[in-house]
Amino acid sequence: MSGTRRGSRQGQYRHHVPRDADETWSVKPLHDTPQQPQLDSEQQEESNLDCPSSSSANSHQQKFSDFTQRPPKTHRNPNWKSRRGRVARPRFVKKSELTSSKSELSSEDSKASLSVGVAEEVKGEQEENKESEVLESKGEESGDGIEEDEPQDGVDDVISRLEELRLRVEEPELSEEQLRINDQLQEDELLAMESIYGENVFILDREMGLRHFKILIHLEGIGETIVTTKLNSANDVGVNSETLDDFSYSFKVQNLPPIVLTCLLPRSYPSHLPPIFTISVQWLHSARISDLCSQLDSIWKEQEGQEVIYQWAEWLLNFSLSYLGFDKEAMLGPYDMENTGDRRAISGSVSPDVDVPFIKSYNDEKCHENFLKSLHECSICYSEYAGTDFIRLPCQHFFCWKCMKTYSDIHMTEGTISKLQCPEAKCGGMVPPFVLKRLLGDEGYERWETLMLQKTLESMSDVVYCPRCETPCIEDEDEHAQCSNCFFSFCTLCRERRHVGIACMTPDVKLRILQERQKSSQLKPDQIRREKEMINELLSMKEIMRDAQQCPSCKMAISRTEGCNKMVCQNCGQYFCYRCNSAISGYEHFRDGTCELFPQEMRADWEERINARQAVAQVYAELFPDHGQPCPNCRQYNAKVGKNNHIFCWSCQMHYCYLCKKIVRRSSQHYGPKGCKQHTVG
Amino acid sequence: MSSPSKRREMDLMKLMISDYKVEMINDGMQEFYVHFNGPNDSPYHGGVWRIRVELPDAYPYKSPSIGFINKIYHPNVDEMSGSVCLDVINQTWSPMFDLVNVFEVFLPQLLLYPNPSDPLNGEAAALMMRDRNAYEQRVKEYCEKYAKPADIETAPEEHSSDDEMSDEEYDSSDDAIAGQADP
Repeated sequence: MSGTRRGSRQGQYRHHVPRDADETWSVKPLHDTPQQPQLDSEQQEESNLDCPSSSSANSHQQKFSDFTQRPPKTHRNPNWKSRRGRVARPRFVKKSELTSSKSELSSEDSKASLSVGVAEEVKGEQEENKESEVLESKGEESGDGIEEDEPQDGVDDVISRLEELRLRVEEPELSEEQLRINDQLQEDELLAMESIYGENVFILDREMGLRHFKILIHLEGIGETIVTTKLNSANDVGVNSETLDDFSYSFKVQNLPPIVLTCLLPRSYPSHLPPIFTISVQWLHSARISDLCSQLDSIWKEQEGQEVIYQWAEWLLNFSLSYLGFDKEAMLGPYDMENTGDRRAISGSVSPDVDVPFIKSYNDEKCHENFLKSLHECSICYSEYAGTDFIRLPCQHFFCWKCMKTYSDIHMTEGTISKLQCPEAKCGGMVPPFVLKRLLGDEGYERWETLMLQKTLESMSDVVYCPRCETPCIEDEDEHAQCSNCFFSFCTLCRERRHVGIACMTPDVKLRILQERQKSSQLKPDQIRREKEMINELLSMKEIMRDAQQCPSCKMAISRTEGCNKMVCQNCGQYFCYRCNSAISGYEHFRDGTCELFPQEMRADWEERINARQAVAQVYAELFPDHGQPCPNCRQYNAKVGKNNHIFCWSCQMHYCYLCKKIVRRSSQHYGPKGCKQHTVG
Repeated sequence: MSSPSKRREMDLMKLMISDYKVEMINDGMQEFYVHFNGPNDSPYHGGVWRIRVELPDAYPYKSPSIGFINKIYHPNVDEMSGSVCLDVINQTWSPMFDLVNVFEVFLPQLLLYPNPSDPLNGEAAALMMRDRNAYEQRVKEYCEKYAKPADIETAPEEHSSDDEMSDEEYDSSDDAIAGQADP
């Protein structure tokens, strides 16, 4: 006979483990069934062990030291590593040898190992401080890679509850045959469950030789549920809540945290006993969970002797919410009601400010997971990609990676970073910097940062950069600035040393001077190099300026790629005329001045395109300026073709007569014997 | 760009499906004509215009260019060329907008609520501000003259009237009689 012992990493456990004092203890998994008569004596022993300072501890010191004789901590911990479905929990079997040897332990040692032993042990009450201290450190060591949604104490909580529940149940004596049948049925049922519920079924290690598993029942795919909670200003039980104003807070979720059904299958299941189970729901109050438990009981009662787990799972999945009246709206709480004594109901619900964020964050995670898994269509390019190829912005709008990259690149090359926001119309949501970093790459991101800085500084109107050390300086009146870093005093227009009273050197003059100096033999090599660079820069500027104009306000070189002559500087927003480079306020400039709104090439282009016949007509108009008349309708000059007096105006598409200059509606009527002659010379 | 060609195709298809008459200019899906009706609650009601749409290379990241082929009297449309100021479109443009959007939302809005602060057609803007009724009257006149459905069907009609004319040329060979002097 051997007993089992298990530890808990934190929190409370109420755990009664039968153990035989004379047994062999060693660290290894066990698969024997415990015997119940052992229980009471063990329990007593256990509870006494809680208080090492009490006198009774001494009498049990012997036994106690048995506990302490364990393999060193390091060995043990690997077993504790990750609490996934199939990881073994440490089991301890007492070694009879140890019993005798351990009595020689010094008191110090035993105290030290006492704390270790305490941590490992099963207790009725707990000394929380010491325990949690030790446990916490243990927890840190082995706490990696936890994937389960439930907190770790929940896992052990469940197990301890199951243990507790199991002990209340008395298994009838069954024949070998019956036990075998049951065993087979259980095996089959578990297989079936695995195939139906797939990854939501976790087969856990046997507890005391009994099959042990849990099923996660995900309440999702049912559209949206509204979750409501009443927020009272006082959650005290004593306060009469009716006198207080109830605020209720509601929010919608698509995915509720799952119901966890954990079962332990006794040997006499399914022939005589139902599975021992706990239902654990993070957000439901235990009273409600208790309701669910009772419902499971009645399902079993309806068909005792048959496998029931599938029915249970299906009921929980499809009907549990409506049974609680939660199918449209789920109520959290009631928080002021005490827990019922139903040991099968495990609730994680604490208070609104814990539960609400928990539900919301679970929902967000699940939604995000679902998003990543499924296909979506990008609203910019209309192609379909998996969710993983999308970028979702904080404003919840999502676009495919390629489109976002193109979009960012276009704005980066044009320098219009102020427009680099969410592409969604009228959203204007910000693109977070880390997203930009991924989209633009490191270099691009640096350039973005530089541009941002520049723009911000430029929006502060008087900032200029020192030509020598590049630090931003504030401009004084009269286009002068002095650098605070290197004390260089310079002219802000030409960025040379300050020249009071003298005009700035034009780039051409400067270029010529520099080019001359290149030939001089008096210059040192690095001086020559520097001036060569300046020459190159001036030459590039010249080249740029061939096709571009400078904004009259901020001097940014702007090259027009399309459109009319009314330009908007993207840098500072100033309107200016591309033809004469003066700052303007609107279209009036093109009406009264010498500048045309549309450049000649553009007009010619259109006119060709709008109407090929028009081009011909226009040519005619050019060729025969004397043989034409302005159209009575739109005053456009049209030349007559050959001798034909019937003119078709290329501008307004109207027909009119060269001779009488009137609009011709029906040519057969107009040019009859009584009317104008259609063909005349001249 | 090759991948946005799907975008262009979809936009064009959506436009055609929404009952707009679209004429392609070439097969490159860069430019085409669309027939546009004046919005119902405006003085432009009843007018039909032929609009030239040009999609730039960077479409949909850059807005298309819009031009009215037949004349329209509007503060933000140049009377002679029919061009709509690019800036007006560009300022509100987003890659999410498509062509249907332009014709269903943007253009009707532009016609219903001209922007007089920076007008291409100063005279129209001034008239609108000074005397709304006269402005509406003028708009209607222009619609009558230039934006009748017949006007935009002139492309095929031209040829037929041409034929007529040439026929007549051959027929009326007896112009021995001196032509009447022009008034």
